[in-house]
Amino acid sequence: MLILSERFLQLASVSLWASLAVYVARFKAGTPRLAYFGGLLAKAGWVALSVSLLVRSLVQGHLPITTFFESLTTLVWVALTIYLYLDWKWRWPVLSAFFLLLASGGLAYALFLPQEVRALPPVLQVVPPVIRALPPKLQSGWLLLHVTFNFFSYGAFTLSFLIGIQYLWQDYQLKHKKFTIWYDRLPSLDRLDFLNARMINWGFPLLTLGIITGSIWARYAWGTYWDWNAKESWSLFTWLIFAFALYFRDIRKWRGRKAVLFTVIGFLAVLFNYFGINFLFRHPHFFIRGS
Amino acid sequence: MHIVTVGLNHKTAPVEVREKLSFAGTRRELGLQRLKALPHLQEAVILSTCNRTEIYAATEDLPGARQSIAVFLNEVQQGVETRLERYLYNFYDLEAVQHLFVVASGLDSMILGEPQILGQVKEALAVAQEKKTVLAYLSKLFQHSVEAGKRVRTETEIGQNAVSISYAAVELARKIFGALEGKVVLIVGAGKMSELTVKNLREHGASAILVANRTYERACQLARDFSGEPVAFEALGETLQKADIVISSTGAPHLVIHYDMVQEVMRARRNRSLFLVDIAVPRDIDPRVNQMDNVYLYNIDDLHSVVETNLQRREQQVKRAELIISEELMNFSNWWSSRQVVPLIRALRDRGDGIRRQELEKLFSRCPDLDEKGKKQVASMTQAIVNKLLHDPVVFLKQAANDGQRAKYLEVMPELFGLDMAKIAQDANAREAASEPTKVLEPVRAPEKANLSLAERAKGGPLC
Repeated sequence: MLILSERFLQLASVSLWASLAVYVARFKAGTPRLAYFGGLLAKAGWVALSVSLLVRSLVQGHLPITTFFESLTTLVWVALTIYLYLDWKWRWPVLSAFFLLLASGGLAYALFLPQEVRALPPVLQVVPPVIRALPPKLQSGWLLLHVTFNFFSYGAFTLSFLIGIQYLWQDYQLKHKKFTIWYDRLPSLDRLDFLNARMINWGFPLLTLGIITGSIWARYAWGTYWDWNAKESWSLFTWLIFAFALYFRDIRKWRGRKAVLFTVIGFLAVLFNYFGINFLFRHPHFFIRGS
Repeated sequence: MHIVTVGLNHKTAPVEVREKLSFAGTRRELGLQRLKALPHLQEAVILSTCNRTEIYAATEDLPGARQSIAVFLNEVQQGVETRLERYLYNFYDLEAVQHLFVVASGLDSMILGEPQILGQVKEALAVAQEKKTVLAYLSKLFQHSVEAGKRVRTETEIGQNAVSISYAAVELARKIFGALEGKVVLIVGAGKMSELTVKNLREHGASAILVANRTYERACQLARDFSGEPVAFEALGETLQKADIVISSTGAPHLVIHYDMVQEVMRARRNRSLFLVDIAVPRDIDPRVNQMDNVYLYNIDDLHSVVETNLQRREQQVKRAELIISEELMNFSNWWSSRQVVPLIRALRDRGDGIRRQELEKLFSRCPDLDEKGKKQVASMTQAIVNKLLHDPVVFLKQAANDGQRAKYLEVMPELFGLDMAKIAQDANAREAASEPTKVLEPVRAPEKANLSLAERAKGGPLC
């Protein structure tokens, strides 16, 4: 049955790449008809990915978030869901091209991961064996909340990052009076600024909840709310960046470039938290032996 | 049937010649009536804009029609220009079709991709329809050219990006603010440019217009013209806090809007974006303000270079436009040739079948003891003979329809098989009318003038 999930994952990857290709073509040609097909393919990708994850959950009896591979595919699903919502609401083919590059890249990366890397736990934590014996229901309840909140915040941050990059590029063109095809295709600064902020407004509370539920889970799982390991410290750092971003935007009334730069940096911190910490601070083989 | 175009445009003829041959209003109607009266012209349309005059005609006799049109044009300009011929270009058949498609797409226009021409092509047909100088061929041709022009406009970006200074400013504002609804525009000083820009901004939703001038009386007066609100020149700082778009064109020899002023304003505006357009020479606004976040300053040179880039970008669309045109040309040519050949094939088959039926009747009356089965066999045998005999000519006709080389055989066919050509044409027209009623054209909209560049206006260039 897992092979079925894998097949659907491949299918999703293929349709996302196809969708990306269509959006790139539409970018070059500027013909709106193409965007429609791109949208169809992206939706098909979403359906295939949903089926893949559903099958996996049913077979394994839990959500696909227990290994690095699974969490990555789930993360792509979450981001894709948010993206489809934005696309439905705002019709924004350029964002599509950007996002689909990331999403299809993410899926392809997940698909081509070597088996031993795939099997890595998503959060590389040393879990004391004693505490693992805790009631699994209690454990998984908080864990589920923690992961859900975090994933949705990551998804929102991903989109705020992409929108932010577009803002910076559009701002640069308007300031330096250098107009490329991007100038035509990208929306206005006001809109980019607004949506960038909106994504942070969604992402930040979710991240906050994610950290809180995570530490509650840690209390049950490891006996301590917070133990200042690399992942946790970095999460706090990320949280602080976004807290500052919101502070400057809402209280100090920063707008435009500086405010957007903050969110871009924030996303890079998230990215490092998700990929970097896992690979840098712990040697992967340790976990294979450990589990 | 053939199509011929004779015309002149801004590339082949100077304005002194063009204006003598321009057809507007009743002049065009009279012209069409005259054309109708001339020999060899079955259908005629006059396409006349300030940059071109072209006569389109459908005819059975190309040289004759060409001659008639030349006579007509000479009459119209009353022989003032003795060497008219050298300004004229001629296109025949598919070349003429292609030319009209190119014209309708705006590829042949003075300002590449300008939108008015499409309306003018529609209008040319509408007037000719009214004067009843068009039948199936030219109606179809003009309708098809409008379709081709629309396709080029929607499927390429040839008509996009402003090619006038005032419109470029509006586009920039829209890239900064998105929708301009509710945006406040401040005019400092006044000039033709500001007036045009304000007009365009207002068309795109900008609501409040504030006017500042060195003298308050003048400000009041201008405010009336712009239907805006006068503000005190001394209070420029406070006014800037309210305004989102500023157009400055004073005659002041020094800066009017300073760096410190804008810095303070931005703080008060809580960093909401500010778009400054400085069209004055010498400049009114300190160029350093562009370095401030959320402040976008454009001077007259910047706007000129935007227009320049936009024109280049339009040019890059020409290849794609030409592809679309050649597709449409193919479609039209298929229609055209099938229109020529389908009635012919039908006539040929009718002829064969007619002879067969006659002979069958004769045979049946001569041999009354032939039973039903025998009759059927004879009927199907004769059917087979007719079919086989006509098979090769029909195949040949179908191929010839799309092949200019063999097109001349089409004319031989009726003679060869004793077909009545006039009846065929009549038949085709009747069928055409039954199957495809001539479209009623939508009313011609007033052409937009926004996209004409100022340079053009300054040159006293044509506004059409």
